[in-house]
Amino acid sequence: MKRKYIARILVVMVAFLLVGAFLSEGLNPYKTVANGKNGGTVSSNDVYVLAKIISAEARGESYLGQVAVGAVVVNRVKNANFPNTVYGVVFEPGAFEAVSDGQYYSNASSTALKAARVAINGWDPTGGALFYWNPSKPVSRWIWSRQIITQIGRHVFAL
Amino acid sequence: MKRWRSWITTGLIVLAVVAVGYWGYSEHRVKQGLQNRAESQYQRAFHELSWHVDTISGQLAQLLISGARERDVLGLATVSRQVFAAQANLGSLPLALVPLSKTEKFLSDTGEVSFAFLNKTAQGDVALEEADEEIIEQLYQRSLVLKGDLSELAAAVLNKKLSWTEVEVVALRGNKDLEDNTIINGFQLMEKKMEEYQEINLGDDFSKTKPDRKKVEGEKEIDPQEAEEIARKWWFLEDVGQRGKLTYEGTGDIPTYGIEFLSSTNEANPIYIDVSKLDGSVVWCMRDKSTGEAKIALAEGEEKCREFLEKRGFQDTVLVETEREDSSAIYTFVPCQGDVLLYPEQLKIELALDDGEVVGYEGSFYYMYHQERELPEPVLSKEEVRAMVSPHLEVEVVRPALIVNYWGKEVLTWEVRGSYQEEKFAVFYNAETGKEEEVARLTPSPKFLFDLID
Repeated sequence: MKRKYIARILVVMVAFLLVGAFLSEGLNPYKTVANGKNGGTVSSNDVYVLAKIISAEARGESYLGQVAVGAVVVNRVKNANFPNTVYGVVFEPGAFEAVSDGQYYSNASSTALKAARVAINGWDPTGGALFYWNPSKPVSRWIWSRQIITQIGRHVFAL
Repeated sequence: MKRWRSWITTGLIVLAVVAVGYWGYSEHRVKQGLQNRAESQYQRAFHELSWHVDTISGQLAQLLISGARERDVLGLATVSRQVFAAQANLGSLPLALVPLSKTEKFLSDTGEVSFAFLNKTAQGDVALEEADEEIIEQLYQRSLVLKGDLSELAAAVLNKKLSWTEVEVVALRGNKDLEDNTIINGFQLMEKKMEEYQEINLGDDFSKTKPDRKKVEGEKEIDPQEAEEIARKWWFLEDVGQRGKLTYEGTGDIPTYGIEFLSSTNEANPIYIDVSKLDGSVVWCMRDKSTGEAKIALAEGEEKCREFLEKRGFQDTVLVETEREDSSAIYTFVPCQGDVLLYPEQLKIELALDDGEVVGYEGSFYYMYHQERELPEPVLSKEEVRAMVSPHLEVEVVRPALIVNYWGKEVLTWEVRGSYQEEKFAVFYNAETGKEEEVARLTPSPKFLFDLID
């Protein structure tokens, strides 16, 4: 009886180990690249980076909401107080949750890519916003001092 | 027999515990290694920031005490370079959520001023004038605050062994208080001190052309019903029984009502139309459309765009750029006044290349900057300008154009478009003085094939 119990514990432990090892590999965000199957697209690198950040940050938002998130990145690139390239803005430490938690490293959705194309060409539903956040989620206490200019979908947009 | 089994089980348990322990330890080592690498990058960025600001401060003072033009040119170039480096350092620190706009403004002002004065001193024979030195003096005063606070903070980081990764993880992402908040408090204090300074008046040279105030601030306001009607007539042209709804209100650069219509052809993807609250102009519209295989040539697409524009009152436009990606294209048009291209009023049209439907219109520049202008006659003739062009540029077209130059001023120019090997350029020569106002690179970015998830 006792031995069976121990054997069970053993099996469970080994299973844990295996699952742990599998997860630590599987969760590595850089390795989840093989998920893009249904068709590709031709794009320049900066547009695709923008599409990836839109895809990860605005999943479940309407097309309008996705363009709006892209427009915030583009507005930051144009603003003297932020880095001067799409890459600088997207990878600024702590600027985007999706980059911090690794969701950014999945492929972009086709809607996000379309949103990125128009955002980089100047379409801006936010009217010049530099920040956005989801008010129903816990966010940095510093961010609430910004002047909110509009709300699109679940995000509020601010200067 | 029984004994054997119990030995084996014990052995296996020990082995499992050791294996788990080893695995945990190596995971911990990997994590520690990554954290150390992140920490070292932050430390480098932070200490370099402090060092660059110190150099900027010293160079600004040096500009004030020296009177030689050559020394000024060199000093301004150094400041300009150091500002660029300091901005990169600040951008790589995990401070994205801490409000530091005044501190950042100091750096961008210093960069802009040094670049402007560099232009002045390097192109003319003049050293810095009294008014210029006044601006530099103001920048110097501000640099003292930054320099002092940053080096003090740097010493505290060194002495108390403060960790930037901890700031990032605990304070900024976890939104909790640290045991030692020196780093964030230090930056916030610095920002407070910078707030006490008045904005530097950079003078007329730096003041940019502002959009038409009447349009941005407005005379009368419309209500959402009127906006819906305007949007409907503008997009559908005739009444097809569509009714739109108000999706959002914008209070940004241009106050607008966002109206949403369900499209007649594709129910799932609505069309969004943004209407100015102040005079009821349509600022932009966009629609998410899944495009099939491209069947329409770019030239045929241009005709579709023109038709769309002409039906909405844009009679006289010139196509200046086409960008195609997969089965859609974005066309950039500029309106003309006489034969002069008005670049400040550019319009963009996005067209689906499978059925030639317009899926986007971006007219915010047109909306903000459109007006009847008093344009001067060009002093230089087309031939005179043609003769000024570098022999390296293979010229394709020369035409008069109004542009907004680097300093944000509208100037009448001759636009010379051409190429040098793979690179495409538009060079803009001031139509009065012949000065090269702007060189725009028009070479499209290289494109690659990417996978998508849906």
